[in-house]
Amino acid sequence: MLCEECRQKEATIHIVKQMDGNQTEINLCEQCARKKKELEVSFEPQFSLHKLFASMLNQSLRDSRRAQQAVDTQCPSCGLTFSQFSQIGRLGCSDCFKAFEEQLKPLLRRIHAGCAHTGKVPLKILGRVQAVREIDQLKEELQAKIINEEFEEAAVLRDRIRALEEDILQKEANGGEKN
Amino acid sequence: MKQVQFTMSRWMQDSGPDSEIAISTRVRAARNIRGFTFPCLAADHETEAVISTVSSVAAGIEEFAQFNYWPIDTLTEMEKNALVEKHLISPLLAAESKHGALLLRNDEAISIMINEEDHLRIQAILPGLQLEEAWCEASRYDDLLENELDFAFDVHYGYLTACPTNIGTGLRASVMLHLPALIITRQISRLLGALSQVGLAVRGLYGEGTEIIGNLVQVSNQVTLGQSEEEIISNLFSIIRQVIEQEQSARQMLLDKQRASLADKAWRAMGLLKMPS
Repeated sequence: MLCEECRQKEATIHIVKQMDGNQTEINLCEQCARKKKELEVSFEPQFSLHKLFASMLNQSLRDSRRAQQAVDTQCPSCGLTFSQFSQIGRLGCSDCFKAFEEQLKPLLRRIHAGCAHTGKVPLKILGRVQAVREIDQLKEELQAKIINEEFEEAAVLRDRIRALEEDILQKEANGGEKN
Repeated sequence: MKQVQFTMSRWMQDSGPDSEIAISTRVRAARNIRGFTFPCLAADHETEAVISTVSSVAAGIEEFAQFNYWPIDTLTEMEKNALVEKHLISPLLAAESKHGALLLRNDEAISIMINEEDHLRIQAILPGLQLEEAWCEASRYDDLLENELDFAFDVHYGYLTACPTNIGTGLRASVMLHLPALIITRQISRLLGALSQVGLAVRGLYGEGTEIIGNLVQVSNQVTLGQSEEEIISNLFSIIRQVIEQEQSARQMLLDKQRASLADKAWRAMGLLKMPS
């Protein structure tokens, strides 16, 4: 069957419209179907991961009670809003993660194996990252000690956490290691 | 400036471990430079700044003397197509990147795309099943560039990428497999289902959204956050090994039980190739 529009190419897209009890049929080739925008059907041949991801985001927005607030969140560095992000499925800059952290976290959990990076670290900031990871672990231990009312040991942990945090701050002040 | 080669890449010609089934192994790391907007949102002067920063850094590193550098808009359609077909650049970089560029090692085993979806996509491609080797190669160039550049990295989330599906390691490892026997014996759909359950993606020859042609499939990791590079690589390796074993036994089964119809297929194909109509 030839395309009804250009009458040159094979018609590969067949559209049947049901309207007020009347049935109309249109047979088009891909190029002509694409040109006919009033059909409002997407002929994009490629299934896109971004779009799938964006639709997941939209879904979680709809579910959220604070949806309006989330939509209005804006990245202070690049100006991308969360609603823009949920349409294009891509972030604008490295600060977007902090700006949209609350909304992104549940999604990251769904698509990945958790929310914490455990792999490679740039050599330049390895010391700092190790210290932060150690602090996180100590904080968890500290919570456990407090719940068990082992306050003396908790105090020791608290002091170690403080010392590590000060160490990081000092290194940053010296400009040796930046994040 | 050197011309883009139209001849086959080494990964296409050379053989590697298990290369009668595993055609090639590809590993890429996504990296962004701190302080620059990601390419999809960046203004022209920013994408230009990324290009000049990266190319001047590369020019100062000894190992990059074996690389050729091409801004994508200086290439002809034919050259772009050749690079896409050899899997050295993505269709996205060829078609729509602003100030996209390519750094390509002479042997075409390492390619670094600039201003694709992320500022940098460091890719290693090797023949056969060589996941660890490919990751080591990509990681080495990652280290070299990281010495000179500040990559966007978060203590908790790892390497930050434009698409949240790449965050963490930024690592996508994929193996291209030739699975005719699993397809003939119709075991493929069960296998594909099982692979997706363990968090692996299966795609056609040219990545996302392409169909399976010529019995070739690409199997890759989906998860990039919460697992280390070594875990991702070794998980993928052990599953690919199982797929290879299944294909081998399916091939043996076909040889034992359906030798005549298999021979018929082969001779018909030979006939078509020898007698073009």
